[in-house]
Amino acid sequence: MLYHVTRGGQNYGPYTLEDLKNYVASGNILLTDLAKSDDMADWVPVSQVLGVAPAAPPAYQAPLAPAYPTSNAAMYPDSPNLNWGLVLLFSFFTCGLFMFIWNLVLSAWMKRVQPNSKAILYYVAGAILLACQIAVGNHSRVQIYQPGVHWWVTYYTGHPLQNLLGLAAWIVRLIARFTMRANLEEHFNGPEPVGLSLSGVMTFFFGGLYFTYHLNRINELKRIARYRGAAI
Amino acid sequence: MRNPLQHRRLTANALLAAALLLCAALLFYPPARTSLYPACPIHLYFGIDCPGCGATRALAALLHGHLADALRLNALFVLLLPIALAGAIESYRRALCPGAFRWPQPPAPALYTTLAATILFTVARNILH
Repeated sequence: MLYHVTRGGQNYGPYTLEDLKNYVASGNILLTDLAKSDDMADWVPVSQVLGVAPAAPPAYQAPLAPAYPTSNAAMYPDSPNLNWGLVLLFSFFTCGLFMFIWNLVLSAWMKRVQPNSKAILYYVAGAILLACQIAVGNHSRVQIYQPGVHWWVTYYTGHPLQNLLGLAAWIVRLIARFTMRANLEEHFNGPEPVGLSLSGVMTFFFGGLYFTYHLNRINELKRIARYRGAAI
Repeated sequence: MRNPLQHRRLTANALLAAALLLCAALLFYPPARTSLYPACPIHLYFGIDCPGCGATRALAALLHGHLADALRLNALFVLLLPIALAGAIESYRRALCPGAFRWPQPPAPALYTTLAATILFTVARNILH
């Protein structure tokens, strides 16, 4: 028999009786949470399902089971799921421009699932600073047409403002990455509990590419959970 | 208020229009005749050719039918372009169809080989430059 569990208006599961016992033992499900199988008319405390005495609720409630909560997942749209390898390849061939666009796409999705997310603001600010930096760079370049090679040859004269803009863009991008990391961890350990933990070092060096790798993994997990849910 | 399918179709058509506009711009205002196009920031700061350096000019050359010029400017980009086009067409088709959207998933070995080839190409084009 399979049981659904509810806490704070959010549904989780379904779980087998064995899973329910294990999650109660690990503290992911509380004896005071409500459970219901398809055969039961009403929600009853988990303690009643397991036939044990209810315990007093602890001060801290651990997130629910690491198994993916299928019923809750339907509330949130899946993250953009372009393969991380393709994101890297497209970034290579667009001189990094694609990564900026992709970060905006990811942070826009983040804003939809976590309305308090400010990552998109930082990513937009970073993109504007980069555009200004490139514009200043373009302004300070000299192009000479060489008939022999049929193309313009570019010489850069440099501009002090360019370095300043570059530094500002880099700092804002770092803030954006760590804001996004905090938002992702908040979301995937709260409303959609999959136990996501993101490395600070990897976030620092790889940012959006690292997030995409994990979002690919989570989307695959959700897809399997949906498939299993449909099969059950 | 648009439903998700309408929203997705609108996005797909907007991207298609943007791609066609870019091609038209490259056809009528090729990088060889204007300094309108931004410089590669990697080349600008580090003085090296990144894998994408020359891709815009190569695309412009292809649109003008100059295959040899395109290959000279960025051979790997030109070789991968048909695969990218096929992926883009398939993505567009899926975006227009009802149901959940999934990006085309390239086979992992092909993807890793392409990434390795891109890195080798970047090293080679900077050494042999």
